[in-house]
Amino acid sequence: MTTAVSRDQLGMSSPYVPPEDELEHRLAQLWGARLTVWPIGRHDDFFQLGGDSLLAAELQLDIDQALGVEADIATLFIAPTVAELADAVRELLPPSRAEVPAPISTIGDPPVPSTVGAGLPVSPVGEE
Amino acid sequence: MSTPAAGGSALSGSAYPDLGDLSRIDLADPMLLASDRRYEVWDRLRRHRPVHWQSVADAGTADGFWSVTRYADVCRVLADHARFTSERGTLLNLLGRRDPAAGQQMAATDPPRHGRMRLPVQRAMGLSSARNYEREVRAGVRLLLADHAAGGPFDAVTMLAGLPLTVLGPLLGVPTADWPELARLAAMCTAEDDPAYQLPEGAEATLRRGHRALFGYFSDLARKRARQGGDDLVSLLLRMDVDGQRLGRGAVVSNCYSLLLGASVTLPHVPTAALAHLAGTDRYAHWARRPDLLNSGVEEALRWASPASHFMRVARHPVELSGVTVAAGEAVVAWLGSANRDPAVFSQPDRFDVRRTPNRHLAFGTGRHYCIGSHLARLALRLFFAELFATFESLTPDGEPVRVRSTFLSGYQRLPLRGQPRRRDER
Repeated sequence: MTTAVSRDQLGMSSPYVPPEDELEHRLAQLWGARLTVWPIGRHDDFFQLGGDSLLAAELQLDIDQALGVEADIATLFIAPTVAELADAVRELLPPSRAEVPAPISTIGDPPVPSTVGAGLPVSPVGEE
Repeated sequence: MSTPAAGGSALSGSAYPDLGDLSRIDLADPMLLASDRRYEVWDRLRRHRPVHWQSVADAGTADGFWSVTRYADVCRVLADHARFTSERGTLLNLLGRRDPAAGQQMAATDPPRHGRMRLPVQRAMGLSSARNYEREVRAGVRLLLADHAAGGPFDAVTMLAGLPLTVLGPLLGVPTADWPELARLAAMCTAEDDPAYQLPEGAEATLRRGHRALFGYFSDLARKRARQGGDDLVSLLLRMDVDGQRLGRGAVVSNCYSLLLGASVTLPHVPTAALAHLAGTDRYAHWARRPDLLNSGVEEALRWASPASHFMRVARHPVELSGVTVAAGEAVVAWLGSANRDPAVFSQPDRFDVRRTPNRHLAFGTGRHYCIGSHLARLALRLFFAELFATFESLTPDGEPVRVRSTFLSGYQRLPLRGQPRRRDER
């Protein structure tokens, strides 16, 4: 168990914009679990949220496994926001699945989305 | 005249002459390292200030760093992993910052975990593996030389840019089409201050972009290997069991990155440094005529070039080095390039002597973190010089060489040469 850091403590350069659809929410959950930061805005830069290249590689694997698609890797490393990533993922999802990518149980429970957020317990994805 | 060292030195400045001058030396200045003045500066530091503190304003949690320039001190700092950790940044550009690769990438991991990660990779890159690759590497080297075998002007740096991937590409299973781009990204990560590689946004942005693009590349490669399996190094890292656990994806990718940078740093810059010195003199022909001196000459080229100028460590406990006490938590930069010119160990250190034996240079470092690719690097360098000598009777300078601007990488960005091909019956 790790205690999540509040986004407000990080001095982000842009205001918080919440994730828009279910795909973005799902991605934000995966980001939050890896970064132990909450909440994650749709335009927040992964590296500004405290991410580094090693965490990005871990997160990429989380996303591959959770969504069952392998989005263009450059998105996470070069244009790393939830909104950009959702666009890259959406291109790959078959139309029938474009709405709701189902969570996969083997990767652990994502943190509960919340706008209050600070101090939420988070279990890091993929840790055994 | 006395300038107390800011970092907790036990010695007063009066122990050293020439203090005022030496105090102003900026060892973090890429321009200094890009000029031959570095040898003079290192020489004076070795003699007068073997353990030298430099304050730095803008380096995260650090307020400066120590430099050691003597062979004995450099060995000590690199080899004594109980007192000097590699987990708080190993290069000057990480001074005062958290190293996200700590404990995950071999170069940034201390024993005992380091050994458990290193052993399987070391086996795969060892002597027997080097022999298996000999034919492939020789073919690659011939290909690099082929374009210039007819003679005429060429840039040695451009020609040699393909050498690291000629060696490492097959080991990592990287497609040949990707080699030029990987070489360019590696250059952005090791010589971010150099105008040839720097992005318009500046050095910091260049380093960040190159670094992330390489991590992205290797993440993608790891994805494919995880799916298909393979007998390359990426697959080996994915399968590896360290302390009962698989390496995380970040650790796998970070080690690939580190291997590529290691190869990119050493390989091209050793021959170019040697050729910059030999071209236009009869020393080239002398060495070329003596195949029995191929190996000792390659060791001398390694010493001469010292392409990795420094490695950094952080003291875990207070340590005394040449009479100066380094406090716990302070960074120490070990200047390999200086150690390799230390007259206490090398007689006439500024002479390129292909017969030099013994030649205990530190170009590959020393201790547990000794370059894991040294066997492959030596193989590639020996093959390169053998093929070069078979191709050219002589080499002459053909314009101004330009050095790489970097605090870490010592080498050339441009080295225009003209080759005189050997007659066929001589080959």
